[in-house]
Amino acid sequence: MGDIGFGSLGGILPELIIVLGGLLILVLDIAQADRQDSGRGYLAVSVLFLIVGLTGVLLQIGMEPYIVLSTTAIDPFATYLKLVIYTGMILVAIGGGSYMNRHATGRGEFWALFLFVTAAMSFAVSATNLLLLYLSIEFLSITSYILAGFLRTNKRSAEAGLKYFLYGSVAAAVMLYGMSLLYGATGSLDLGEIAQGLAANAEMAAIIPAATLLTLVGLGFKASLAPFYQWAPDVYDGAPTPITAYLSTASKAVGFAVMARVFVVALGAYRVEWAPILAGLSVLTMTVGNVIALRQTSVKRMLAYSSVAQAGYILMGLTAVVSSQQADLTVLGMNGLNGLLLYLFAYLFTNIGAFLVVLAVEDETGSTELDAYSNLVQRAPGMAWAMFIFLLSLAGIPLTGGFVGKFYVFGAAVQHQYFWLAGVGLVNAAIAAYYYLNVVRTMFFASDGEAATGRMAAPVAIQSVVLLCVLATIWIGLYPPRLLEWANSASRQLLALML
Amino acid sequence: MSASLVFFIVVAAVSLTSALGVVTSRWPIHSALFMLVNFITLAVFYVTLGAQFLAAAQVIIYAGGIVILILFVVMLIGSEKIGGPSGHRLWTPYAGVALGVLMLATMIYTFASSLFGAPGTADAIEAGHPKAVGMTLFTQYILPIEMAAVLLLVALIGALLLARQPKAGAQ
Repeated sequence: MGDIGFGSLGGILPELIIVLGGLLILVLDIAQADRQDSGRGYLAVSVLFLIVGLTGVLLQIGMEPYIVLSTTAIDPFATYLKLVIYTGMILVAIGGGSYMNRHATGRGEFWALFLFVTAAMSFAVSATNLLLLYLSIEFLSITSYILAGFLRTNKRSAEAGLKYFLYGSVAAAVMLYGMSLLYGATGSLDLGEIAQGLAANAEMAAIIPAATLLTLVGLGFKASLAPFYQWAPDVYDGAPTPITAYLSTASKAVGFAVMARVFVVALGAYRVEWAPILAGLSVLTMTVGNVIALRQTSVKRMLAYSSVAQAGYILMGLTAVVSSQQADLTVLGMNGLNGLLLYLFAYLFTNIGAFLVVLAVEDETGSTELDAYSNLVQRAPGMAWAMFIFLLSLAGIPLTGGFVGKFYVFGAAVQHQYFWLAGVGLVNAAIAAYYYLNVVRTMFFASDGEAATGRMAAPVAIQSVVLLCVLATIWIGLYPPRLLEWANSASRQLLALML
Repeated sequence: MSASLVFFIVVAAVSLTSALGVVTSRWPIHSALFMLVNFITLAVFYVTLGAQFLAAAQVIIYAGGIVILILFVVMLIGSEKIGGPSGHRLWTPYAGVALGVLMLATMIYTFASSLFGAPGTADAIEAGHPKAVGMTLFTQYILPIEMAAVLLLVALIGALLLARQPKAGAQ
């Protein structure tokens, strides 16, 4: 039992600052009598607090792992994912903030919830205790339900919120049941102690398949894996676009991170059993996502299905995890987990950028259909070229971030003899390239010249964030040694915890 | 006969009667109220065993939360009198009896050992005692507790936001 005192709170200071920021916005909102406030101030305060949080996390890079308040780990793995989360939320806040300010009622509440959900994700990736894990995932979910249904006058947004809530509560209940089985079998909520308890008590092995599957339902729901993905297209399509941007990147990263931590730390000894299940889910997820995405006419909905398919590729990384001793022996250090982490980071910039382009087009034309993109290159050349790069990255073309991510997860799958998995993945990548490039064709080579009416003026905030995302996508595509080092140390540290 | 034994017999009688009332009553609302009485007698048992925290949780969660939820459901779907045996399928009573016997058997199996050994009190096993629970909650689990607090705040804000009438011209 750790000491309780202000000194012990140092490790979770970034999250505490974010929560305080949320409370501050609530107080400011009450103190202000004017209900017609533009919300710009709250946007600025939120971005400021997020940047302070990100700085705090950057300072934690390279620290020795330690446990705060006996439930939260400050380790390279959590720090890496917090970088992903804070970066994503800052990009979404700057790029999508003014859209939300214009369309949402209750702007103060929106920004407070935005900061709270960031803190919730941050706790979820660092929790080493099932109780905190469940609470923070539930915190993330409940806030996300509210944010997805935030535009109450918009029917599709309300539908998205309700659907997310209904599916989400069932998934959370099933996951809780799985966790209770783990607790019942070992008498501990701590992930490390669960692993030791299972190792010490061999007759409890019978409970592992049930507990694993039930826990997988809840976490797979968060990560939008195939049998539990039905909510994703409707929610991603109906929710306000900035919310979709974070749901499909940061929130998904949390699903994968928690899955990796629970499966590697608590159930690592049973990886021979769960790896094939994950491989099957991975194939199912990417195939279902890609095949349905082929038929979409709305770009936002197409990106939603593509996001499901991408979850399948990301899961390949977790399928191929090995113990740290083995990982050091293999060439290029592909231990599966670092592929997953790299993929999440590359996917963050690519997908947020793509959704912001969708947002800009939606703002201008009021539509997310493919027709609205015809001849985009003449109306907004910058946006069209940016979207081109994002789509290349999603398809996994070399020199983009998406390629590096795919290279690492496919490489890990091949190295661990999952040839069929890598094969199915490659076929899927080819299918995906078709519908990604279809958007490019519409943007650059639309046959009818009717749409070339005047230039489209995207807001400066969106333009700058999109530019940032393009630069980051290309930067990750150029194989940055610093990022690789972060991902490697994060993955090694987590794999070292595996029994 | 000692006073505590008399007290136990009285409370146990109330508990059993109310439990029977839950299953035999034809009015859903009566069943729900019988259940409330049953929950409260259970809380009294917890207090007599020294498990004050469990008693408080029993009253707050079961009597306060779950019975209210059941009453809401009864209110929403109507509180007509439940029909006689013709109302349900032929196998329903047998299935109910079978499940009840199964549960009784499990309980006897689990508690048989403690029937003859020394009685386990809350003090002895350090469970359900306010001090033990409080020490654990506010040291080891302080972070989850605080997070639950913020979570409740968020849920409250969300419920207000989604349920209140949109003001005209608020857009």
